[in-house]
Amino acid sequence: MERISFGRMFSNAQQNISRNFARVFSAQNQLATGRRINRPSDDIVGTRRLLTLAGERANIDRHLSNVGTARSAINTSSAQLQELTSILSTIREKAVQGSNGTLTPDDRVSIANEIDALLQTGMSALNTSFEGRFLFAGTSTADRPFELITGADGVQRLQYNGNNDLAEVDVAPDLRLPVNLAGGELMRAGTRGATLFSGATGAAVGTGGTDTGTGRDVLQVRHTQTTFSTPPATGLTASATSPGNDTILGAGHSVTVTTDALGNGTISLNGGPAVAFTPADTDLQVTGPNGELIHVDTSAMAPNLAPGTVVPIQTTGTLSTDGGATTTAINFGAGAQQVINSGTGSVLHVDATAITGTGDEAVTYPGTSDFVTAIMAIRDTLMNTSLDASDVNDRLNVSIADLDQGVSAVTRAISVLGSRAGQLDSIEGRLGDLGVTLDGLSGEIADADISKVISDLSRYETLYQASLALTTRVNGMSLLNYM
Amino acid sequence: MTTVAFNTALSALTTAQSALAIIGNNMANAATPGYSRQRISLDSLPAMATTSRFQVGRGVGINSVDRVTDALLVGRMRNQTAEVGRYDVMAGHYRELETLFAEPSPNGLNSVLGAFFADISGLTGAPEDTARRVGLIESGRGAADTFKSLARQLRGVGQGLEEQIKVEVAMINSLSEELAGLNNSIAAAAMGPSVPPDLVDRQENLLQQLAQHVDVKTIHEADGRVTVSSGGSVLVSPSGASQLQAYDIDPPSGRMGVRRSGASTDLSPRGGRLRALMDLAEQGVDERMAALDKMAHNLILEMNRAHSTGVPLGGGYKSIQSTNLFHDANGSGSPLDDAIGQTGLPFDVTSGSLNVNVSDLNTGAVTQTKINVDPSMTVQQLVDQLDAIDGLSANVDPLGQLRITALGDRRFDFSNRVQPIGDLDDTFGSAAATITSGAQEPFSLAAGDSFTLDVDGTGPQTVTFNPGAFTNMGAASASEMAAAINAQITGATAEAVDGRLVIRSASTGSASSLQLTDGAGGPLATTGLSTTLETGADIGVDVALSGSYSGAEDLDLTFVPSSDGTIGVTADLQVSVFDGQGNLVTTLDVGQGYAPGSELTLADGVTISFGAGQLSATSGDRFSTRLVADSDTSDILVAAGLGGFFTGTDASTIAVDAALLEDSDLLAAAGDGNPGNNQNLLDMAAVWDTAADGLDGDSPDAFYRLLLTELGADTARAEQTLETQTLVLNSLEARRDEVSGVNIDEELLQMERFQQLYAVTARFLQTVQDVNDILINL
Repeated sequence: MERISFGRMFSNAQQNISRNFARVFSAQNQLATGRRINRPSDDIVGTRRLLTLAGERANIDRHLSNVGTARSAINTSSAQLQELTSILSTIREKAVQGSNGTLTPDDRVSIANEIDALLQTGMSALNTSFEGRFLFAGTSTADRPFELITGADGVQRLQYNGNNDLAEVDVAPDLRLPVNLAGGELMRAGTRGATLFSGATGAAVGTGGTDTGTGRDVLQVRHTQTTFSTPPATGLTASATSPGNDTILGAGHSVTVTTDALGNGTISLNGGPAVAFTPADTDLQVTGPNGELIHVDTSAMAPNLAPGTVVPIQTTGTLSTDGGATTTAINFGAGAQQVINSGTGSVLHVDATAITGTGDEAVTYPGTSDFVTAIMAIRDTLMNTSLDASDVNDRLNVSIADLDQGVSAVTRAISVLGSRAGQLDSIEGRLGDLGVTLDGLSGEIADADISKVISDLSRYETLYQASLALTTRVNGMSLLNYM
Repeated sequence: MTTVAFNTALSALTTAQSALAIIGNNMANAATPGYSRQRISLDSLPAMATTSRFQVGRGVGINSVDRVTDALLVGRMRNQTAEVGRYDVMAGHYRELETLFAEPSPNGLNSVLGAFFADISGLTGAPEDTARRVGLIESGRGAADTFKSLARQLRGVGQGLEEQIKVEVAMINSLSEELAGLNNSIAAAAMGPSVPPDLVDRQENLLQQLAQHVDVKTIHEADGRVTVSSGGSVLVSPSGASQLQAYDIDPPSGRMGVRRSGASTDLSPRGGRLRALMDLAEQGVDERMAALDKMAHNLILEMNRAHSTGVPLGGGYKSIQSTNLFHDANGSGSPLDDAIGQTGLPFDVTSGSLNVNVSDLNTGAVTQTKINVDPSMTVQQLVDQLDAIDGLSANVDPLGQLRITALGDRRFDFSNRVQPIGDLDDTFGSAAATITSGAQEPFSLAAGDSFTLDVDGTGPQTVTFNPGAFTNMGAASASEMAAAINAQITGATAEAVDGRLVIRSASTGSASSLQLTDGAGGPLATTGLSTTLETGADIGVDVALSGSYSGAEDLDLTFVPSSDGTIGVTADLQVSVFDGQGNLVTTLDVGQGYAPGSELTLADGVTISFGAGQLSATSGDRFSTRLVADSDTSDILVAAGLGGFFTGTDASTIAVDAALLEDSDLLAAAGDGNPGNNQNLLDMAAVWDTAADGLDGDSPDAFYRLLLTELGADTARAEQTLETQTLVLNSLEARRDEVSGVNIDEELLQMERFQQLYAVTARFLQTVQDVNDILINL
């Protein structure tokens, strides 16, 4: 039979009481913190899962914050581009208005000025900066991406200082989305059409290959030298001011001269009005029926030239698309002369066979203009008061077609941004759902089950009180009570 | 008879008194811990020889007073006490360690590091934003501080353990002394086989106390003295106690050894608090410290690997200095002549290469230089290689700090960015020396007209025009003249272009030249050919590369034109691209139809564009560029602490680079020179969940989870073991109480018994006295 000692009874009671109290305490602690796991050893597997879940939760928060950053950049970009499209459509209306043949040149200039003002507004939208960085500059965000630079040929061109790199951020596990839209995307042009010449030099579109210029070029057709054929030996020479100042080019030109015994006579260019000269004239200007001009020296004229003596004229000249920085000698027999712009390296193929005079040819490369270049072309066309209404109309039609193609690049960009924004929304929704699920999971693991804890607590309380009461009662029992 | 009766009664009375005294003592000690109840054993006294035919006993006597105890049980209890003592300390300390790590909570290292990496990722959306850059750097500082404070607290726990081991040793020594003293008292008080029970109780108590501190083995002598030994060392012998001493085994780690003074071997306890403390010093704290250090070390390594190969804001570094020092290894007074691997750098340098980019802020040109790094190379050789790079100056000061400075308006970095300007030396594209006649055909020549031509300064070659080569020498055509010249000249060619005569040197570039001198008849004057020296030119074609290279291997690319021609003009002009082994990588169409400046795809993420200009295969136009996959395969940047995010080597020393704290522009967020590039941030953000060799193939977050799980498991195991061992101890105590404890009711009954004995004996005396009275009154 087991002997129960006096000390044993007390220590047993003490152990049981303290064990029951520890249970009460643990339940109370869980209730107070609301958490079942307050340190790793409370539940090792649970802790491990909790830490993993916390890591995933942190990832979600990180991705959500990146989604926020991306969306604000994308929304700002999108808003700016929306504004840009409305500016562009106003510009288009103005351009159509400008092509109305009944307008006076002054009317056109004032429309050109309005378009220029709108263009500046559009440029500021393109150079939008957001939180200190330019939105449409690729990753070269510190430099103003779009600038209008006037080249050596006097043509204003759009210069893009940014790059076409995309800045991507993590928006979901294994998913990166670009937050920017590189300028190159916006400035994408349509498909190249046949090059157009506009001018009076007689230069025409050449064969022999695709032109590589973009937007617009100015083809300068310049005079170099005039020589008068011998025979007939007339003694007629070009004057010292002739090189570069005569306006005729190509074969097909001639003068008709006649002299008397003293070398006085008349001269007419291409059947134009006869101009009288004397041997004293060393720099005589002769103008042809179409305003063409030559400078002749008649000091050494042969005497007694029969009336109607026809002297064919040979000329040399140059072509340049870079404002004269480099020139190409005109080969009047060539249908495919290459003129290279030393600035851009672009090649223009010129048919030189029909060139008759000097001047500037406005060269347009349809389908290669971004919308800014197209707008500048529209503006410059309207600004040019020397053009007649049909020229204006022709040029505007090409430019408006370019503008339409350019605008479609902006529209495309807006829809790209829109789809990214949509993607961000769905990602955010998904991340949010995942976050809720994770919170639920970690709650299941970490949080105390309140109703269970409360029922446990009351059970342990009862037990604790019972053990206290019992101890007192048992302690009260002794043989002494009966002795 | 009367005498006998009186004596008998007296024996009963004294016996009852003694028994009551013992019962009283038992009852008085009912609550004394470790008290063993004493039991009186009675014996009837044998009869003396009398004359009677029968013998009458002489009463009762106390045979012995025994401690009711079970020696085996006591021994087991001592062992169990040692176990409980051990796990009590274990559980307490593990709980403390758990508190230090503060997990799972928002203040734990897990959350702090998670927030740091979230900030890195958050910066990718706006890499140039100063506020966020500063935020990220501060968040890095927070992470470093959390490491440091954890390390400091862990070290504190380690130092606490040292103190506690010393306290334990002092306690053991004091208990040993007491036991030795008790041994003497027991020997002195012992009367034959009977040992004073109180002294034995005291001895048992002391042994029990000692067992809490260290497990003990005892040998009891017959006279009650005890020999106590533990872990192979005798603590108490009948002759006296020995003193234990604690000493540092390995001073910085806090590990302690304990040995008997004068002994040559350490005490290796198997239980008790001392054992727990020694275990904890070795595993509980040291291992955690080592794991934490490993994690910090790896974080510094991986973060710096990523950060040092990025580009800070502003296009690169103006000047940087190493945060780790090259130490003088051979005692020469300078680290310069030491092999890099010997100079005590905290991270390993392996044999590999380092890519150094020097960018010119004015031109935007970036020059790549690949330098080889090997641990056996001297510091001087490394510095010389860096210093030799154009635009850089590098030196190591006497303390061993490496400093690299860019000269002038230059910046440098160690990224794998592509060289934006491909053809830095202007070797790609060139023009020949050309002379064009001022006049157009027909040219008026006469038989025997001549001139000389010096091509490339090789000496004059004479050209003479003879009538046979012309249909009409007085009106010679340009093509006739060209044919005549080509027949007599080498190194140059003549041709007719639009009625003019054009002479062109075969070689190109600035070394090519043409010099004409007029001879007989003056044909040069007639044709308007200039007699001034014409030289060719190195008109480099603009080659621009962009994008970032994502290939796995370095690519050394050489670009060679397929033929001679003008970019965008000449039909079928191509540029062939070869790799370092001479294999054709790709061909790029740059001929007719190519708009100069438009981008062509080169390789993995890199595009290239060619500007306008002429290319010549015959004159050997070519240029090379390198696409770098890993710009520092040697880890020299991490080892020397150049351009790192963190400095330090372990959890106690980790800190954010001081220069970075001062200037957030130095944060290398970009993978190239563009401020909006976030490539390097993406690389840094990936460190958190990328498996690392330094962490046994775990990612930092998984490694930390494992560290915590192990700590939790250790704690839980210690607590569970403590609970089990305590239960066992409790049951042993219950068993001991069952045997040795005092039961009041039992004692009361005993008391009742002896009280009755006393009363009955008194009655007996009364009876005897009555009998005597009757006899006397007879």
